[in-house]
Amino acid sequence: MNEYEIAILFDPGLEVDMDQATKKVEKILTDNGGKITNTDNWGKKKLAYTIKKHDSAVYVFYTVSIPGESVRRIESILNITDEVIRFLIVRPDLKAIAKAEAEKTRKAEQAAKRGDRDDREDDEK
Amino acid sequence: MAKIFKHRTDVAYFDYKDFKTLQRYVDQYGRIETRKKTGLTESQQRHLAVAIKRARHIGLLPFVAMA
Repeated sequence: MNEYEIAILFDPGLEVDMDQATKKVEKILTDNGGKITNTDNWGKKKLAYTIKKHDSAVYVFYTVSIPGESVRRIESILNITDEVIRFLIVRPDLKAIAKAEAEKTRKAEQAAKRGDRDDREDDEK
Repeated sequence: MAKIFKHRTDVAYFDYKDFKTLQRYVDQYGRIETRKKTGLTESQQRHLAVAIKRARHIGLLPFVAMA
């Protein structure tokens, strides 16, 4: 089982009844041995360019544990799912994320020591 | 050549979902800026490029802007 991050772009026409579409996708994931640990719904967003003749889409991000061998099967099923206009499956670089988080907290501590104003970013100085 | 950031950023990770940050590393035509301009290390620049390409795939960033 590996952790994957799956971004799904739903047909914007389904926004009124998203439940059915999300359930369908979640079923695809769980049916193939996946365990959804987190979902992040961004709602309807304008696309930077048209995808399948749509200029907006409903963005939903899933964090899922999937056995590696079923990823290809999930990909092929998502490809023929009409509700999904585009998807992306990636393995997040957990090491890099942890490192970035550690760096952030270290910096925050340092800033607190110096008594910096926390409403100002470093770049703006 | 003016750098986007004066100091090297110690961002260890570029997230493809964080398109607001990625946007600062592409020019007005949507092209990825060179290392000369971004001032990133080689590996940071590679990770940045991957993140931007992923963001393009899911429609968060344009492949070609103002076409």
